[in-house]
Amino acid sequence: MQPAIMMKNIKKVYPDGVIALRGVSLEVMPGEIHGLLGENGAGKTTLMRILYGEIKPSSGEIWVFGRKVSFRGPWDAIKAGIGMVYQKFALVQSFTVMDNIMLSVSSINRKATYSDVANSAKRLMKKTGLEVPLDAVVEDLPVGIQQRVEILKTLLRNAKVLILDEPTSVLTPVEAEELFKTLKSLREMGIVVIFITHKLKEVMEVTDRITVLRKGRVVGTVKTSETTPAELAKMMVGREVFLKIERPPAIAGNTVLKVKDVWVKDDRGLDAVRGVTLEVREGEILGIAGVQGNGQTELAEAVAGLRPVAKGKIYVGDIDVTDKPTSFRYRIGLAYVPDSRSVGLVMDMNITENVILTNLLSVLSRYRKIRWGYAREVAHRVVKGFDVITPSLSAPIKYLSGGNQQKVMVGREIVREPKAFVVAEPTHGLDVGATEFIRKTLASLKTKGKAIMLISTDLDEILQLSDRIAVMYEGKVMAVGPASEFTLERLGLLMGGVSGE
Amino acid sequence: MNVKKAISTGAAITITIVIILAVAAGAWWWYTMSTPSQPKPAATTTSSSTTTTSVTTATSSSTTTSTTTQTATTTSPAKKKVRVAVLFDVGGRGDLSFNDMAYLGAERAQKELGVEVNFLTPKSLNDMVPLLEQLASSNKYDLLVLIGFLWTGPLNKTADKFPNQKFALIDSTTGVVRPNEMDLLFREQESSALIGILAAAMAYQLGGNTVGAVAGMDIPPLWKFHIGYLFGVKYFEMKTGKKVNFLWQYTGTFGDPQVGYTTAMQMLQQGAKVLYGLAGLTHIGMFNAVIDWNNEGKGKAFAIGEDASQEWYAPQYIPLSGAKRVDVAVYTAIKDVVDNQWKGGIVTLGLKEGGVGIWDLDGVKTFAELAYQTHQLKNMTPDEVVQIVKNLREKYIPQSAWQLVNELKQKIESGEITFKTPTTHDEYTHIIQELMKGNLNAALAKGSIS
Amino acid sequence: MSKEVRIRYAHYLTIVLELAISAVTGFMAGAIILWSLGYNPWYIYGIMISMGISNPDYLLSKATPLLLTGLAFSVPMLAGVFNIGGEGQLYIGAITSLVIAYYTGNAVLALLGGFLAGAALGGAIGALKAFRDVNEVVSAIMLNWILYFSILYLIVDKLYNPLMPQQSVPVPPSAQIGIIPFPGGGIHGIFFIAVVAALVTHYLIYYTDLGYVLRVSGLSPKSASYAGFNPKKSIVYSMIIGGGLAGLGGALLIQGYVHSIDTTMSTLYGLGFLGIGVGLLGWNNPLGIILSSVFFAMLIIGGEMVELTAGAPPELADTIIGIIVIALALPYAYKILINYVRRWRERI
Repeated sequence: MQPAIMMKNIKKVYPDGVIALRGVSLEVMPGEIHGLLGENGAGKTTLMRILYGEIKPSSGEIWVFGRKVSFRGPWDAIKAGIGMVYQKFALVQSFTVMDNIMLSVSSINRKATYSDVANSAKRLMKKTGLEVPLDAVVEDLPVGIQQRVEILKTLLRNAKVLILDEPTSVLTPVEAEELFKTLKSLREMGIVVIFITHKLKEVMEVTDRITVLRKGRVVGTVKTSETTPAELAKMMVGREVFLKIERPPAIAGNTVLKVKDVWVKDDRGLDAVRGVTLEVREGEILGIAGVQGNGQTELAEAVAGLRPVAKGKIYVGDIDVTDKPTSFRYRIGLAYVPDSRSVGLVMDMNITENVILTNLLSVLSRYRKIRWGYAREVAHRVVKGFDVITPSLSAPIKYLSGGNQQKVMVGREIVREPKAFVVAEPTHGLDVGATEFIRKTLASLKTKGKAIMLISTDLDEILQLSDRIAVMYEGKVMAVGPASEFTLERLGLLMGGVSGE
Repeated sequence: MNVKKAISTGAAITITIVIILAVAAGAWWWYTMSTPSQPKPAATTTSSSTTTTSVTTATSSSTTTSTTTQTATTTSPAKKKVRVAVLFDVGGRGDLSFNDMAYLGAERAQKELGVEVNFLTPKSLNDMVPLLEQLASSNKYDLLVLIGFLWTGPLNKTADKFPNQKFALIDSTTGVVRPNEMDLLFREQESSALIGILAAAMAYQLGGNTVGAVAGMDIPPLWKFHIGYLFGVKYFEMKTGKKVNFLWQYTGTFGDPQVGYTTAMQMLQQGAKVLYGLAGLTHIGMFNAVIDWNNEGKGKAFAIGEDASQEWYAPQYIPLSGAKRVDVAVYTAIKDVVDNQWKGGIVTLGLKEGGVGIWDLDGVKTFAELAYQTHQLKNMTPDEVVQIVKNLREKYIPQSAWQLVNELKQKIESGEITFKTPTTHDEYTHIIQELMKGNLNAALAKGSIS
Repeated sequence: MSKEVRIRYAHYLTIVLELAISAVTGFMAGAIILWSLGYNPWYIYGIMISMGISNPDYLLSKATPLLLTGLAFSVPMLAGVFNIGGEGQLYIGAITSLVIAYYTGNAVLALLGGFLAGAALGGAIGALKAFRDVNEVVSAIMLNWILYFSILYLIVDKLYNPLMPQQSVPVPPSAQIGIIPFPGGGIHGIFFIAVVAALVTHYLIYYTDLGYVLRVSGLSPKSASYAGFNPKKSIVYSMIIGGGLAGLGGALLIQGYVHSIDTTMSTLYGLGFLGIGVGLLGWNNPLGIILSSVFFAMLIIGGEMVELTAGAPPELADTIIGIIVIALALPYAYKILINYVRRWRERI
């Protein structure tokens, strides 16, 4: 049978010399869901952006349904029947679903009328089960539905090949299940789905075949039915990964960080956190689970003093810091590692300059001169102690990989020796090696008697590290208790707003 | 890191600049070395061509000039040609006024006197002292001609340092007499007195009896205009017995057309029929006000320009311009050097010397052509401008007024009367008060009117 | 050679190459224009450079206000503020220094006054941006003109020199800044002070907590808040420093160079705007700005001489200067643009 997509020996070298793909060949057969698996930076997304015409390959051939193609841009790819849905949706938030669909369809078919498009949308919805309210305004819809709109949009542009980039990263487990069902029904319709992910369970559940990439090369293509998660993991990282890390027992002591009936508003002025009460004690990790956007980020920012508290109290140790500035909180022993590296780091500054970002006071002389020699010493300690791979301390941090950036961000907080940590998404987007390193570091901090509030949307991470777990949903804590009380299934339900029992 | 980075960035910039300098210097050296003969023939051709022109002009012009040029060239053929640098005001050429007139004067000197003239436009007052020092110490120029009052201070600072360098300052004075410095001033009272007569006469032709002036800043050169203009108006009153209302307003600026517009509009509403513009760029606003006043049908009114011929700006409504012949001043200064008649001190130019006056139709045409070439005059040709102005003058200036003008002009040119030049503000206000009372002789330093 | 050293050398080599290439491009583009208008490009460049540096005293005096307005642009730029108000800050510094010098005859007091006046004006613009969300470009341009006409009024109406009414009263000799004697020649005092100011600024920016906070705020305001710095304060402080430097520039210009302001404002006009070019050309680095201000001054002086020596209209020299400066500032401006575009794309 003729492959739907055939990519031959694709190479991509960026102008700055970074080699993203070193000769990748990929075959996707008609009527299959094809998983593209790999660590961050393996080249999955680059490969798909080449297929979608967004990036030009340095060399190599692309065949679509038996025709050799050379796309000048995504518009060419769309015409050839390829559609792509990104992690971040390309929807106009203030438009209705129908407006968004119309916008996308009219870009390839200027003659399309509103009613025609609405009719074909309704027909498609019935056929695929992708039910969306056409008249609703996009920003009012949950993320799962917005994703459906994106898929619908792509299909209405007559896509025969649908590329999904990490589609479940923003979904609750229930929504993810829904998505998988949809994908299977699309397969019945003969639509080829390419599914980019780094989550083993998902590829096992939904795909027919899997291609594993590592460092810009294809490790192998396997039939899903003939493989196991452990084998895939091995292919992905090139070594056996200990997905379970040692969890030292908690030796919980005094309460170091306390949040009492805290209400916080988000940027739009809506209540993002609604009366949360939590405690973190010395020598324990409190994991806060939840789907992205349920108030965890706002809670963390409120604790760090970056966001005003509308109501409630926050204590670090015995000190009420509710109305104190961020710098004061840091001084009395709080550390905050934000979820975004572009917030926690100044990308255009070098490592030394980034290391002193939260350590500024300690490197100042009496006359407020920065002691650069000492600053470099501290930076050196971070680099050595946390295994940061860098050519030089004076290299701008933007040239470091995400994992090394994260190590700098976590490491510089640890060398300050604070009492309490608020750590948000510490391993987001990191490869397995870096993830393991960061998690081990957090676990060892606990044994040193630090109090850690770990905010993560990665359930494995929460389950691996936490002594106690709190689940947040729509700004409220759904449940809180020792980790042993939570199974993966129960967590999934709680995160989806089902309190269970 | 930062130290090193900053120093190295600095070093990188230095190196680059050094490279640029080296390349340019090398190119410069290569150019001068490889083509040593190239500039020379060019120089000889220009000099030979200018000699021919000077000969032709010599034959055509009066015998006295021809002999002096002849002797200059024959007695000392080895003697280098007179070189002059004309230093413009800030802004330089293209103003259709001072700087362009200075250029015309220098060009005439180049043609008729066979001198070589270079030009330079300073960027600001700050550059004037260093430029004077640089040019004076280069010993290249026999004369530096400085256009405009802004040069006064800088000249005062540098003139003593270079006793062998001749300077000519146009339209201003340092107040110090030096053998190497000639300050050329204009006797503006003389021309503005004639303008005053014509303005009053035109006001009556237009069915009114009010004349006005939009003036710049309350400074000595403007005092002279005020005295002259008022004198002319009062002279008209005395000779014809017709009463004339006189309006005079300082706007405080030479550079704001908007203020000129509003000031002029107020005067027009007070019944002024003729407005005299004495405020540089500001009185362009006055011109616009007069144009609008006529076009909107509020009545008929005229404007009068000053310094250069400004009739081209709106020939239907600007019949006259007072002349301040910067070109004559520049030419005079250069000629004095060429003729070895140089004397330091203040030289004033009036009607007799052709330094001030009323622009004739030839002058109108010259400036209309300049404006036409620089695309500031649109919609009509210079010849049309001249024709319109000619008709306007014939229609609105009665013969009797020209008689009065010629009568006064004759008295001034013959030296029968001369005007006072006030040195203090009090003296100035006193003269104006007396003039307003009708005491014409208060404005005169010599002679009397009866 | 270690990897680190190699990378650093590669980095500097790129900088030098970039500058050299853009310089050559700029000069070549200018040469083509000159050549097509019938002038000999090498002759014109020769004049611009040789005449530009022929009078070091003139060169350095001319460079002094440019150096300071360049810093006045760059310091706020490092903190993410676009200070187009160097012009107005220079004006207010100049007039304040003139008034103080005229009435007290004290050079130090006048300099200090100029600095403080500029700092107050800069601080006001910064405060409007930080606390009232007024765009700094709009308020600065408006203030530029308000000051322009206010100062014109003062000079014409209140402070005119009775002997030379086209100029303001002069700075008395006791408040003038002259030549500082050095072994083997002297150096103009105002340039010396300006260089010291640049060095102090450099120290402030790269060696103190204040400078560090400013740079973080400029590069990433979110990171600044995260680190517990107040980005609003950074805006105000950077504008106070920038404004003060421009004010000092005005004071130095008046006390050490022209000694009075003329009624056409040619003394002051345009120096603040030129500072933007000087700052960009110096890559917003105080040490780079010292060099770029001298380079700029050289081109301007040389440009004046082009008319005298080659008979070309003065606008031609200005055009050539513009081309060269744009070409030289391009790699840096390009980087800023690329960064901006990248940030914009990341947001989508």
